[in-house]
Amino acid sequence: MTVVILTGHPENRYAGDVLRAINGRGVRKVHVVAGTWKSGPRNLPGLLRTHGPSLPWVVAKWLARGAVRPLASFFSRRGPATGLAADVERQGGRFVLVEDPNGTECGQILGQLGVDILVLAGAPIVRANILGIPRIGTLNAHQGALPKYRGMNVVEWAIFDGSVPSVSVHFVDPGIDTGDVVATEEIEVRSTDTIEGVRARAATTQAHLLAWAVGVACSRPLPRLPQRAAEGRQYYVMHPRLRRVTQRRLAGVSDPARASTTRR
Amino acid sequence: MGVSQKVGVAPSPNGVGAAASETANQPVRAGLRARAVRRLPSRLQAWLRAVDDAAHQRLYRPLHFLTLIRDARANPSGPARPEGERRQYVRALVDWLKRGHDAVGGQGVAAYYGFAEGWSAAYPETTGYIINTCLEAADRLGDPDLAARARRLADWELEVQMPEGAWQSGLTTVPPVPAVFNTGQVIQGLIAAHRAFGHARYLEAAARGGRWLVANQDVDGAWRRHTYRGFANSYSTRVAWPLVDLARATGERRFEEAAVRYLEWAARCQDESGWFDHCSLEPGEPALTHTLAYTMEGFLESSVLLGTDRWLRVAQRTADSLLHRYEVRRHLAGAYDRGWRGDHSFACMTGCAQVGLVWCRLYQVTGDARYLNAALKINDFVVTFIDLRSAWPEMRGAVKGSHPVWGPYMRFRLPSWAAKFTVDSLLREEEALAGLEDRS
Repeated sequence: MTVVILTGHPENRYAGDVLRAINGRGVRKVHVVAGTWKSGPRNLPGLLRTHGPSLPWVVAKWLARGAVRPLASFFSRRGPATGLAADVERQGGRFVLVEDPNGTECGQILGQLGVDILVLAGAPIVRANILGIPRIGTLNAHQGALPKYRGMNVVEWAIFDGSVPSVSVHFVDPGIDTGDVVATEEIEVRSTDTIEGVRARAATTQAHLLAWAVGVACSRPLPRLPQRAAEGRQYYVMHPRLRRVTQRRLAGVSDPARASTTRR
Repeated sequence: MGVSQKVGVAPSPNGVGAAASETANQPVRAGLRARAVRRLPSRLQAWLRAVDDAAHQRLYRPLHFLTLIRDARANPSGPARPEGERRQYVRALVDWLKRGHDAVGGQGVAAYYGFAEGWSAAYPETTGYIINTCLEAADRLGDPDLAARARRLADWELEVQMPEGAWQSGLTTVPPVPAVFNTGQVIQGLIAAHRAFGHARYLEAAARGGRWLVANQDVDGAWRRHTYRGFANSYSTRVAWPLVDLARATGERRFEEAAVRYLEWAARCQDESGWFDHCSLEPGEPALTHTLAYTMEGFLESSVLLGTDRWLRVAQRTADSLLHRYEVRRHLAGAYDRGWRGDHSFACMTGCAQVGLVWCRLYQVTGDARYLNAALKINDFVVTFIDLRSAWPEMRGAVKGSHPVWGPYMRFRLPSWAAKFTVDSLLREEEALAGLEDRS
């Protein structure tokens, strides 16, 4: 069974957590493909469309802030292994840098590795050309109970709504958070928590739930609960005013009930 | 509808708009030049128009020049950074509207402050719905002067009502031509004045306007006569809404029946994605967020008054489409064409404020906090470009027609309805947040 973790950045901490959690399940030789990709237009007409007449100021800010960043990026492709890279090599896997996780180069590398399960950990939205490569499928963990909470900041939105925040592991399809659900697990919330604290706990739970799913996939077919497109809601980044309301609501939660898990 | 003033483009075929007489007297050479320009690619034409406009904007004035520089520096889709509290903005906006009232000698409210022409003449249409804003802001801010001004504005609307019961399109400086959309907006203001001050004359005038609207409606529910550019548009849902309200206030059922007939017609203009046909100011052109928001607001408020979900769902379909686009892109295009391809070269600030208002109302009606979330963000965006400390009273508290100020909607102008809708949206937001705080 070949397991590959795809991440958007060579030093993504969450990818490291997922790797260690998978190793903890006894699955070794996990490979990591990390992108050095940056979002945004890369040509002058695209930049002009995005920034309009303010482009000279934007360019000036880039230069002022990150004159050394291109150099660092250049050396990071050839330099000594980073923390994540070292972890990958220590457990016998390969660590590969690609320009764009959606690019042809990435597709070729995944093909050469003969990937059975692709695990997304801090990766950008992955397109169909990559999703079609793994033999079993692509797994992702989402910080919300699917299908009810799709999209961004769903930990906050669940607390805002008075629901128990959860994480879900699901197969990835070309939609956003719309693939078949494999498992969900609730996050324990205490009245002394901060939103950041709950999010951190959710990230840890995500990594472990993903590792559990990978472990199961190595021995038997994973359960799949299909989602309907019309189910649930798409959420977006929460405004700071609503975050403040959410934090107050968090302070008002009662003692935690035992967090429940749905692993089939 | 007096939108000829709103877009700052050529007047309607009816001769509506302040620029009508100027256009009629253009020299032959200018006509030839215009024909030559029309042969150029459309993108180049737009640039040439912008340059031509800019040349007449008195940019040597520090106020105008600094606004231009500020907008050139601002990233159109960059993060919103409001510098003050919401109440400070409401206060500044209301004070700016008062200056617009004073600028025309207390006879209505000026349509806009233009870089080229300064304060414009009074505009009956927008003065109509500014009455509602003044009354609500007077109550919230505890400002009796605003209530007194609202009363004077309502009295002025009675003075400029046309003999047939309608209100004219365009500014008071052009020969009056009755207009459907404008009449609807004034009716709304007069109903509010009637409720606030209890004088029957306001309601009687509104009812006369309503009867004129009903008499000029086509059998299928659309208004085709006395409309801007002479075509049936779908944004007159914002005429249907005051008509429903008028039926409530007067007990005359025919107003509601006419409104529902129109809503039926306008709902047929909507496709599955929420897009509305005939929602642009010029046939076949992309729809401004301004007119899309008018359409949504008309459906939404009619639905609330009529107590039916049917029109609410129509409003939601468009509101959801805009919300998704706004949240993903973090910028609302100034105009969208069929298929929701947006023109992101500018933001229509009035449209942004109106869409924020619609989202706030949708949150209040449906309880879906995603609407409030998006409204908070877009209100942040709008107020980020309001100057609270400008030394120039024309700029302090004003909202531009477009951002950047040379954008095609109300180019180099600060319209009074942009300030009005921003006040409305901020007051709705305040109300919604107060409700949330109570529950948390």
